[in-house]
Amino acid sequence: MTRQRKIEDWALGAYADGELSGEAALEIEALLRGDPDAQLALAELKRHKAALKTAFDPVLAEEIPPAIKDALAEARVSHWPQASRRFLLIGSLAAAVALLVHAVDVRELANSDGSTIASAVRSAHAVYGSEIRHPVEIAGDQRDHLTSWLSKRLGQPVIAPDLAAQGYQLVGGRLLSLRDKPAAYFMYENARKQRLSLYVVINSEHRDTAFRMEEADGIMTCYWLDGPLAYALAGEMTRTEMEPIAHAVYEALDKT
Amino acid sequence: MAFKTELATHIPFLRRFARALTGDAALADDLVQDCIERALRKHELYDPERPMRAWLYTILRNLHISGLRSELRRGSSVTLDEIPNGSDAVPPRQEDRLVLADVEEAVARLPLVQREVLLLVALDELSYRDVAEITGVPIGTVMSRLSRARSFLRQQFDGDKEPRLRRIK
Repeated sequence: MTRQRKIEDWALGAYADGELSGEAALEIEALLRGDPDAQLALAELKRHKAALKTAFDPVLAEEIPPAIKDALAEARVSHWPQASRRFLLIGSLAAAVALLVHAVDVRELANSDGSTIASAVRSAHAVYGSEIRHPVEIAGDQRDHLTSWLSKRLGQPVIAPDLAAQGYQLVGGRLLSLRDKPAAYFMYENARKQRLSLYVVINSEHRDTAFRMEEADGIMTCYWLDGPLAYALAGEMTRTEMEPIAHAVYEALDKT
Repeated sequence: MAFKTELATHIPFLRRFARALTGDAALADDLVQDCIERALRKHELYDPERPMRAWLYTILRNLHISGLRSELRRGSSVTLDEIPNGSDAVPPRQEDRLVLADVEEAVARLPLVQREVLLLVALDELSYRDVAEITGVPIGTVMSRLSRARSFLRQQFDGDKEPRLRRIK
């Protein structure tokens, strides 16, 4: 079967991939308007693209295997050449720390939900917190849609607390996985573009805990188990800065 | 930021790429480990003006290809196009739903050169130029491989089309 369209498949692809700008993009948009077939093809193309991400993105949230951590830890590397430092500072990702070096505390606390969620939120924060173009799947202006979707996936009502009083606005959220179970991830950002991650999973331990804070490689995490859900926060901040935020989140969730 | 620290931030993405490329979690992590070791050994070859992830992907896909080649080699050299995909004589499935397993299966059936281009564009949102550098081919080749990969996916997922597995190339 051949498609009879004015827009070639490759051009449609390039448009969907953000490769066309200015006049070329406008031209495609104009052609699209009069071509329902091409509109369908574009929608399909985007659907396939999204399906690929859905299929493989869960790998991002997985714990890094020890062999890989060891490979990184064992090698000795000299520092950057002087000339490249400036460049690196510009591109420096505030969250780029860690991921690997927190292996120690994770092992110590192994098998408790709390420590698992702490390491999960730290990884998610390091990964998505530094993402410029696609930090979230669903943006914060669709808060209701986001929370109802995540609630449905977790099988528990989940909310994205309002942290405006703490200076943080909701950037959005995404669905992640933790130990083969769905996890809700919310990202917040303050006026200084500092990001805060909130991770919510089902509390399988059936017990509550107090706030537990740990700091690893510049990322502070705070987690607690509360009824049916377990929560964890992560951000580049001090304990004193994290504490009021954790209280605000706890109170907001308590009211629901 | 220290080289190692930045390297660490790319590991989740390397693992995703390797997993999607190989379809095998253990093999993928071996590849990532080899890639990290190589990157650390060769770190002076890295040009900090370029994105580190693209450099790491180049290393990883080259390691993957040389691994495949050494497996396949029977005294003669094997070109990239001769590396078989997993698609031999597998009929496309007649389902219109995009189940995750189907996506992974469809990706695995793509010829390697199309698979890598599709993954780099769809998962990492890399520009065609970056993909061309990583895979060592001109942008036009990236675009035609991408186009073929996508039409293959369409055939796989469109239940209403006549079932045929067009042999590409």
